[in-house]
Amino acid sequence: MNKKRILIVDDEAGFTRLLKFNLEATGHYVVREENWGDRALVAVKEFNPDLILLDVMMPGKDGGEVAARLQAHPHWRRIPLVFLTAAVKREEVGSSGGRIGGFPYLAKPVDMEELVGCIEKNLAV
Amino acid sequence: MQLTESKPVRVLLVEDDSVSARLLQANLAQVVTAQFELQRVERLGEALPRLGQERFDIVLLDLSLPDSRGLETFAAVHTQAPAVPIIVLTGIDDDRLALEAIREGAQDYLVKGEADAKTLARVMRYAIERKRVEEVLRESEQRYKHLLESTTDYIYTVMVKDGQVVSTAHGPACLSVTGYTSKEYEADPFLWYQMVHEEDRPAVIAQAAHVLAGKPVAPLEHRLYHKDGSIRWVKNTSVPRKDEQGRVIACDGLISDITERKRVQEERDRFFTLSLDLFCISGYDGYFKQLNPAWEQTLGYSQAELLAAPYREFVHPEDRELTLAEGRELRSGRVITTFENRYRCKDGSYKWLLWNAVPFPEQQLIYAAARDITDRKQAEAQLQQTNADLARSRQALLTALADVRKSHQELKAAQLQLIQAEKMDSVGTLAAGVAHEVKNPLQILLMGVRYLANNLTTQDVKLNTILTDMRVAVGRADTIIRGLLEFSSSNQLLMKSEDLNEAVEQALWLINYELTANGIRLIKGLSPGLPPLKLDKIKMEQVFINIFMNAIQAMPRGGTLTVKTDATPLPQLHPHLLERTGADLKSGDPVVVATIEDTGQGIPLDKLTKIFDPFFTTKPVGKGTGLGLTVVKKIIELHGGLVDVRNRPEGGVRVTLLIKPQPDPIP
Repeated sequence: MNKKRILIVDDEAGFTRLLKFNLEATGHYVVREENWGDRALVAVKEFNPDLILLDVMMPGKDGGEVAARLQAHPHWRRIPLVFLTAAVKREEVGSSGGRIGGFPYLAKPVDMEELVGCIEKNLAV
Repeated sequence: MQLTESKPVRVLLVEDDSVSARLLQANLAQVVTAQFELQRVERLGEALPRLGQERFDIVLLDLSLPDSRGLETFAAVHTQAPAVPIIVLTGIDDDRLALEAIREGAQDYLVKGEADAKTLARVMRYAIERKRVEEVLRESEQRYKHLLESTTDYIYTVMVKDGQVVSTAHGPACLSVTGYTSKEYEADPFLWYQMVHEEDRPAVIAQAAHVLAGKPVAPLEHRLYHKDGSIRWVKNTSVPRKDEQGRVIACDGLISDITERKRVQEERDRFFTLSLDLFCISGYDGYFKQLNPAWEQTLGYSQAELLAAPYREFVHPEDRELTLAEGRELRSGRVITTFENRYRCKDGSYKWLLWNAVPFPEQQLIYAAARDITDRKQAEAQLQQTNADLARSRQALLTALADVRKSHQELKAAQLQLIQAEKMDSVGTLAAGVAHEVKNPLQILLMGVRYLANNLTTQDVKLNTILTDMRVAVGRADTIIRGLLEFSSSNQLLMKSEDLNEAVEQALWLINYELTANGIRLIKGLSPGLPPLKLDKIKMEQVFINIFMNAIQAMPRGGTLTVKTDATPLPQLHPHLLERTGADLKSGDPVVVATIEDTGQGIPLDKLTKIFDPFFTTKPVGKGTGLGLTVVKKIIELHGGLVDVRNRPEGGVRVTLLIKPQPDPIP
């Protein structure tokens, strides 16, 4: 069975590391972590992910900008993208399943079950 | 002095010729009917001191002395001792001198050497006796004169013939009154007229003319000049005397000296005239009889005007009845003090008068004094006015003060609201920052715990428990962060026309599990057909969820949750409630009301005022964020509504929400 390639872009190194551990511990995923927004596009090019988890608020290029660049790319725009955010937006409060700029998102802190559920759901699309 | 008395007759012999003296002494010694004690001096200079020091019954005086001669000698002695009889001793050819002495007051004279003892004794006895009678007479005359001089009345008669005064006869007392004697009047038939004061002469002439015309006249008081130049006041009463044919032949009159009375009267009149107070004498007939000038000065009428009408005519119509009543009191003999009434002035204004009055029933007169107290009355009125003004000002001040207090309270309430609002905003801003900063660490913790749990190599139960507790703790922290975010984002509303019942139903659906899990019975009384409200439905769901969760947590051993909605006119609310919230609600406004009741333990009274404060909670640690009701209140107020939380008398808490239906905005 092919392991799915997950790219996580988040400036919180502790988070990306643990996420990588946890996801890879399931045996279903290969995870590349990237802690710098500016590095996201390079990582996409090098890693060729099946799904991208993208933090909204980051120093340098933020999640929104990265998403926009990906959207502008003929191939990369098809890569499923899930936002992760601790930022405050009305849409992320109270109920799950909301979207940011048309993308699904997960509000931090997110449980593993929820995260894996969300990854699987979006890989299937 | 009786010569028969045993007492010797004391004789002073003034005689420089010792022979004559001895002879005289020898003669006296022969007198048997009386004893004589003879003292002799030779000079006038010796005689006078003796007469001044001693009492003598008689003086035998030789007029030719070494130091005095003739009548001068007699005059000197007589002056020194006027009451002592003097017998002059003369030479044979000196009758003329002796007679002159007798005219001057000597009792008798003796020619030296001619008088024998008998003659001498008789002459002396007669002299002494005559002098005694003379003295008695003189004394009586003196008394009479005194009487005359002190008599202040005299009668007179003016004799008339053919209308002309021919003579006058004045009683002796005219001397004391006028200084002129009866004789002087007799001598000058016009003296009676000349002595009259020039100013009074016309009146006197007029009176005389009346009398001479045979008419009776009233007594006339006039002035006259006393002989000494002083002015006397007299009262002249005169009546005509007629003969058998009815012709006037004289007028008889009585002059009374009334100078003293006039003086007293003038003195009184001077005060009467000077007085600033109003003096009057009025009759029982209701008319003034006499008024002092103060009346004219005070009221402006002339004396004549005031005397012409009954005094009640001058009294203010409103005071007339009282004044007449006082008049009756006076006529019944009572003294009136401190009576006040108003008198009309000539210019139509009125003066307040304060009265003291006393009646004299015998004369049918009332003596009264009045004082103009108009100024005082005005001052009193002004004072009263000022007092009233002050009272009004005070009232106004009190009202203003009450207003200020009220505004102050309103300001304070507004300030509290502002502080509260500011606090909320700070909390919101803070919450947004905290949320972001805390969520990432929470995420790491959560991931870490998960990783550790997945990679546990021991079967140590404790480690599992610890990791579970940690995950729950992260969950709790996350809940609080979410609450904060809800609160901070509750300023923005997405208003749509909604049915409140739908928000209630949605919230009930979400907490259904909690109800069942806690064994809580639900009573639902949602009125169908509520007027649509402008709502942010999700926020309103949040409101109900928060309230429901409070209710559920208040009933850990089960109970009943009652939810009702209704459309009703706003009942009378405690104004404090409205003031505190600033909600635009009036009694009678149509409102939608939702009540949520539980049967829990209620809210401790001391906590009731704090339930809306952020982070205030009565719940056990981990059960509440302390933001539930804060969020509820904020959301309801953003909807222009009211939230009221109170303990129910029968136990538990009732939360009441009031929201006013908003008319749809004009498209």
